[in-house]
Amino acid sequence: MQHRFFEYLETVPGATEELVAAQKIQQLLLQDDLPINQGLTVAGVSIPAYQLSGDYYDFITDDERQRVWVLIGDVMGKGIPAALIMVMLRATVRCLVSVSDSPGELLSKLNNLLLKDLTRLKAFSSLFCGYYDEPSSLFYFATAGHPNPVYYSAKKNSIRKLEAKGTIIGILKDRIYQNHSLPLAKGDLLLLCTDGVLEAVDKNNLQVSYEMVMDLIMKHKDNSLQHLIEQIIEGINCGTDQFRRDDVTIAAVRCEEEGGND
Amino acid sequence: MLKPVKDQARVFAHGEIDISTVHHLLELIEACDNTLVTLDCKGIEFIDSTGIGLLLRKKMEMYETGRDLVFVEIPKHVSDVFEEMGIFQILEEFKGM
Repeated sequence: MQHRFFEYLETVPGATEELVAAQKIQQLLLQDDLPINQGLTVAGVSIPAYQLSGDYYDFITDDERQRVWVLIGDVMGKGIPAALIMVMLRATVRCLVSVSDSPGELLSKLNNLLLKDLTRLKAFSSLFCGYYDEPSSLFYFATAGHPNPVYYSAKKNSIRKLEAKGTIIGILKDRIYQNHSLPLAKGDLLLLCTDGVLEAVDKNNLQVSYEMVMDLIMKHKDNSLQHLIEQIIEGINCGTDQFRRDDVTIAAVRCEEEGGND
Repeated sequence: MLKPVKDQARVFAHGEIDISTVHHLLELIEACDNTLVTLDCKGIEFIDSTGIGLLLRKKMEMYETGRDLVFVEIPKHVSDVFEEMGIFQILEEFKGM
């Protein structure tokens, strides 16, 4: 695939310029304005394995229902083909947010809407979907075959992986995705990542584990979210091509208001 | 439940299965041309979601033409990825079809 990609760049006139433009579009889409919400701070970083990424994260504010949606997804493959599907996925999710009452409902609708195209393309996507409900301080979530987030409880000063199950998007129709909820209190933190993080190899040629990510969170949890993400990327070396096998994306959410209990 | 099939082949997967290598494995499976192909996963050191997804797509393709691909001897590190992606739930549904 990488060989074909470079062949494309070398043989198609204007391919490099096209690629630079596509990169800019993708970065603009990813770097959308972050939600301004007193109850929640958010941050995200996405690093493509090649020039374009099949990974995606998004934060969407639903002012009417006082919710902040948090999404992270991974389209099969890498480079231009994955990036095209990622844009399709992002647009469909954005349309569904306002007509979905729960993360599980959004995932079910998304799966059925994209099933035909993803089947024709022999592709699929994983997606973690959740929203923070400001009035109740609850975080509702569901997953479609995506690595589960890590949750840090400030009150208990403890960290654990959340457990949710669901099948990837685009394989079978009429899937049901179970909803889960988690009370968030001041200082609680959620860290979401794509499998590119957990497939990276560290300096000692060891595959990155959830435990390594959790250790890094505990070490840097008091920093700003942007800095925390940078420290994780540096800590597991997935910011360098030598150690990265896949697109790498990390998103983080921190509760800033009192309320909720665990 | 799968019925006993005489026309079957076993393919052994080894090493790292990802976007750059999975097509070799898919070609081997396709070349078998048997009704039932068993993929022995014992030798897989690493597999990414793309590798798993394309193998699953191959199974679905074969199923549509009256053939099947089954995964056996799945090591823990591979089964963890299957679990996370909901692949076992999908495979269970195929058994019921």
